[in-house]
Amino acid sequence: MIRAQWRWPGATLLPGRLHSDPLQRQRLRRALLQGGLLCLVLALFLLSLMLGSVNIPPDEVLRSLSRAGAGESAWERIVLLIRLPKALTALLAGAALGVSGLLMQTLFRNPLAGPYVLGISSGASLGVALVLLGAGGTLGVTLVAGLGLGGSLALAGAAMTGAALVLLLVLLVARAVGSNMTLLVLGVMLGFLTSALVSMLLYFSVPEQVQAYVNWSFGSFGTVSWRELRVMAPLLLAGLTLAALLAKPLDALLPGEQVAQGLGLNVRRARLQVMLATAVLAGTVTAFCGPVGFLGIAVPHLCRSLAGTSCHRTLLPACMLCGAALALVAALVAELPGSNLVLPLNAVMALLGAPVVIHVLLRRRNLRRVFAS
Amino acid sequence: MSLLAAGGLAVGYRRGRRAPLTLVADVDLSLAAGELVCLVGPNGAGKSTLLRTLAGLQRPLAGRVTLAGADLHAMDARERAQRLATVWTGPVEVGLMAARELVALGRHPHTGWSGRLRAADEAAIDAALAAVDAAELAWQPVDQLSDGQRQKINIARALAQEPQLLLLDEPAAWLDLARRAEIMALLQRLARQQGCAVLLSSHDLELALRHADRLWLMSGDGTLRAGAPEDLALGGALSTAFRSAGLHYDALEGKFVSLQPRSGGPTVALHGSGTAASWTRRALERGGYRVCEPGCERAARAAVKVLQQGWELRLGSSRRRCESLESLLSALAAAPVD
Repeated sequence: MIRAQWRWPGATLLPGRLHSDPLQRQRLRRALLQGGLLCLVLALFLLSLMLGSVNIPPDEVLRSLSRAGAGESAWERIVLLIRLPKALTALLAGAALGVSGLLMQTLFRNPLAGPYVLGISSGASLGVALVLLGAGGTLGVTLVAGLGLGGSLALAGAAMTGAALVLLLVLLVARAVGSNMTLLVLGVMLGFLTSALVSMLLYFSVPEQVQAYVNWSFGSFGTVSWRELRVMAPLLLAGLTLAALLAKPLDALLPGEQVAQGLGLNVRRARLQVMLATAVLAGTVTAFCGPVGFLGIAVPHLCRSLAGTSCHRTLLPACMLCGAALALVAALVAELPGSNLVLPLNAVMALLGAPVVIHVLLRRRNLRRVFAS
Repeated sequence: MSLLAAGGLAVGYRRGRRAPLTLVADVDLSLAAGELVCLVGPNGAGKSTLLRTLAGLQRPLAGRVTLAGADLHAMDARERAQRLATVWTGPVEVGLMAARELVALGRHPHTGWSGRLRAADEAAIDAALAAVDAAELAWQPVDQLSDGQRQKINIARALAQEPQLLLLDEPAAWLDLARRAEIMALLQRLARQQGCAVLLSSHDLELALRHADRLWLMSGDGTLRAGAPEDLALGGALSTAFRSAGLHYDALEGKFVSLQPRSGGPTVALHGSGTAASWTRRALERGGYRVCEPGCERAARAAVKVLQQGWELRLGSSRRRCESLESLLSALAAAPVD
């Protein structure tokens, strides 16, 4: 009986209106979710600065961050030159992938849509494959040898070019095609085309080149140093800002294009904006971190289940935070703290994330409600 | 003055290099505030195409449509959405959302880039919910509502746009009869009380005849006739339009009957009056019997009398009591042919 009467202690501090009015209650619930996710991300960020092949105590981490340490100690160098850029990369890339997955699932009204349905990652893969495999044995392997310094910006450039070319093609088609479903199928077909070209290149390559390509396709947040971050961060921040501005048109698209048109939405323009934001986000992440696949599809489902809503004003920030949190956890685990081993990021992410998503979806059982057909 | 006016309107599809497909040509239309108009006609007559054109989603092949004096097709999409709201046929899937959040989408043409709702917007949402008698559904998830409730919420979403004109394409086609009648009565009330013009297409002729102030009748031959439902029924326009659809409009009964040839079946005399007698007549007619009034017993094969409880069937000199119309029909069928 006592248990039944227990109330959240904070509830007594709130004015009574807050928990009687459903509108206020809903706002409170959503604010609590965002606040909780934000705290989680901050904690994980700090944790990923502390843990790694060497574990650094939190006060040392904070001292390094504030540059209070006298001279450049080894720990300070590890935190500032290796772990901080890596954690920032994971944070931004996770947020970007979570949001771009949400954009695609809403635009195509399809639970299987993800950041890569437009063929963007395939375009990036083709760019990378052309550099690694097509540039002739010596250059490709030299690039791989220099990877992390000179090589990774060149690789990123190639990937960006490939992604941009595919995007351009899709956008041109989108102007002419009326239906979103046609566009979805076209994107998937483009993906097949580019993967076929990559397969051809792989088939005629020497083992070292193939290994280099496979390593890239495993995905990693660790190859991004401050130099690359200076290019990547502004692009991702621009993409995230554009996405955040799209909450209203995305909401209008939820009941379908016909209703959206009736609400005065310029559907074609909204579609181009959504696709552009997705391409910038997913294309940039693929260029710098490789094709990180799992997050984009899983995070929107996780957030919808947790928030209990499809409204983008709630979902957009939730997906950014949730994506960042998942990416940070995956990067931490892939590092295997305390050891010198590093596991492939994509594999770790799916191994960790898929059971969580399956659990949440089965427990809440609302996937069918979201995408009833 | 009419709210919506169209002159010399031709509606259809442009087909690239081929000649355009014209469904209706040279039509003049007008629709006044507070009026409920039903667009009826056989399948393929172009009802949905006309609605899409009047909603501004499609340009007319010829002619001009004006809404409160302004050219509908020259208007900005957002401005049009402030004056005209549409509800398309079929259930709407929106994902996880409370009914009130779906209705709030109707404020989009009135809010700024971020979609933030001001006090006036919240008030309009509550008013729209109240207008369709769904205030108590506000916080229910949309996917847990019944089809009829969900359609009410959809109509509330359209009302939240505060439109002068409400266009609905088959707003109740997939609902059961009772819900269809409820939606029609609701639309009639909205036209009267909110003063907006309501135009809907409908397959349900009987409901359309009962509730519409005027009918727009598309015959499928490229013409459109407008008029009071009763005028169109009396003048024979309705039965002409639906003849090809295998329907016959029975002007006396005020209802549509299928054009299946009546079987020259045996005659049965029917005694009784009121609801029970009327349903007994239906059952007998469905069974292929010719029903005649009392006094024609001589020609009749059998006589049925409606009792307080059940029916009495007289076949020659034998009398039988039946508890249901079903047993009455089977008793008749089993009777020897004289």
